[in-house]
Amino acid sequence: MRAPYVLLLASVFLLAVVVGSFLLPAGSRPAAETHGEYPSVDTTIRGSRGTLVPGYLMALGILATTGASVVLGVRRRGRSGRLGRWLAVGFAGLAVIYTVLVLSYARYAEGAGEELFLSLPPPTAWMLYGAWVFPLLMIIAGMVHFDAYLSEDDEKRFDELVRSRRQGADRDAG
Amino acid sequence: MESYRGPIILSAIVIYLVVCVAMGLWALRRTRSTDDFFMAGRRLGVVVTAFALFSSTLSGFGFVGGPGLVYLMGMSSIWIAMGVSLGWIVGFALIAKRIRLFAQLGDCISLPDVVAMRYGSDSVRAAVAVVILLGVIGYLATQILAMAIVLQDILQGAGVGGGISLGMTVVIASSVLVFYTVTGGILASVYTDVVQGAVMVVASVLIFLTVLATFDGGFAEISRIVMTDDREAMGPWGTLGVMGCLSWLFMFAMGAAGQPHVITKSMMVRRLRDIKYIVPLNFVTYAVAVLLWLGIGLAMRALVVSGAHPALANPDAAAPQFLLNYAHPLLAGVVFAGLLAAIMSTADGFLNIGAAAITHDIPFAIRGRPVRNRLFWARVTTVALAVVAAIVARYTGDLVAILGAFGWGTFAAALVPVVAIGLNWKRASALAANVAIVASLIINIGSQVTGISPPLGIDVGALSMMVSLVLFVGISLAGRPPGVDKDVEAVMDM
Repeated sequence: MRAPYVLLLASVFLLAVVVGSFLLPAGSRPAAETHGEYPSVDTTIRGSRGTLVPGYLMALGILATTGASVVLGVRRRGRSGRLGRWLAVGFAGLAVIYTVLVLSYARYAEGAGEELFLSLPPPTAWMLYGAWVFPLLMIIAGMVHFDAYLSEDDEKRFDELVRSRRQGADRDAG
Repeated sequence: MESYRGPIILSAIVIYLVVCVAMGLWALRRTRSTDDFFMAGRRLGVVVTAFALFSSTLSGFGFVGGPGLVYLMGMSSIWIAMGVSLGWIVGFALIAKRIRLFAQLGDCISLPDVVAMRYGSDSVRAAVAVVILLGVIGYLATQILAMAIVLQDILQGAGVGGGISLGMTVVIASSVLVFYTVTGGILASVYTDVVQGAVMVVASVLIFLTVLATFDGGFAEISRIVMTDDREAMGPWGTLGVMGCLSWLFMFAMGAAGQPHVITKSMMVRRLRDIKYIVPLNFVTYAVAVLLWLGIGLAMRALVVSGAHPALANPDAAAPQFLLNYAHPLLAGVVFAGLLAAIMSTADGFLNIGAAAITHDIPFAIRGRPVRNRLFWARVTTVALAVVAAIVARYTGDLVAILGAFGWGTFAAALVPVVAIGLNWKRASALAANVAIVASLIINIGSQVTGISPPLGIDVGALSMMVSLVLFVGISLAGRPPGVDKDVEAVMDM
């Protein structure tokens, strides 16, 4: 399917999930209040367990929307090419990491996860060491396949285009 | 050394401000045309561009509002940083190459110039210029307020300005900012950005090490203390909840490609191929700088909930309080300079694009030509904008983080579809662009005015960006394919 249609479907899906979540009963929504002892700190009344499913769907919608936009950006004459494929794989990888993160949080919300992984509770470790760092691999893919993004031939054609446009403008001015 | 803490911190700040003024004077001699004033002559190299982009993105929100939000909510606000990190890829794919090509092809000196060329429409140019102007006032006010708060804390901490008012620090901070921006234009901005970016990166590493040393058990001990008080605060969603956090992820991942003060700097790159090195540098420097945001926020929360430090008067005091009480005086001086640097590097970019909107884009859209003697009027407008923003900053309270997010959200919702998607998709139409901009403004401003916000902590900026994306793509697909200039089409095929 063409990237703009994927982008539209993904955006509509994301918007539907978000608007649909407004209908969730108040009792299942996360809630926080001002800390009893320290007024400038918020403390949790109810965690995110009740909104984990719409939250997960929202995460997938975000990755689909962002991924479709990125693929649209690296397309050349309607084709996504090598770089587009690598970036699409990257977003699929991110979706896997978010899935593990959500599953890990589901266990954490039930009281598990007392042991820390590299100083963080397991779901937070997935968030910081996984989801945060992973995009660097996609940037490296962009560097490795930079010619698919901008080739020397593109630059030559562009220089020629600028030259001919300026000559045209000079002629019009003259 | 400890007894000289105040004077040392103050000296670091004074040295930094003097460097900014000196850079303004240096750039003044190199700013001879409007192209120099707004586009730095289009000759920025890899390091300068990378630091200019990174330091403009981080802003005072990241250095003051960010630690404050971690202190307030736990891990929630780190999703903003995660969004920006993903946003570097979005910017690479959608903006970096395309906007640089358009800017050179059309000799564009502003984002509305690029948009007008892409859509062949002065109404889209005007709409984008108005969005920029509205966002600039809100966002610039945030930056000025953040500068003033930091400066007030520094002066009071140093025992110099015991009773100095917030209004006075607004005046001092704005004056230096205006001086170097007016004299040296964007050239002064980007070169001060390099100094500012370097200070931020070094300061972030050193302050993170200080955070680790503040607790006997290092970061693990911080985690345990925060978890003991509130387990959710140390979980991935903090106290905000999953959907609120993910709305920040979306708004900052996609929204980065719609920030005019950031993407305009992509138009100034000397060589297109430099993009290959600029993007990874952006990612790494930003990630390093977030260590301060995360470290100070969690450390202050742990210190307060463990009773080791009195509760803060407000969350925005987290960074200044940590620096004044726990960092080595020399480091505190460098970091305070870094805090000011982060704020000023964003503010100067806003002044520049705001001045371009008033002296170039809006007159162009209305009467087909910019004002006469643009360089002179650009400087006058820069001063006027700073004065207006300073007044807004002084009289809207100290909600730095909320105002900052509003500015980002406004730009993101209005400009991501029109600029980031529109520059890459020939089917995008001027009608769809105008509808998306108007819809995003109605939602964002309507929410601020009425006080109605989405439930579940979902950010209104994210919601409005979803709506504007759907409208933009949907209306473009529903209509007939618009005609596109053949040179523009050639650039879109590259």
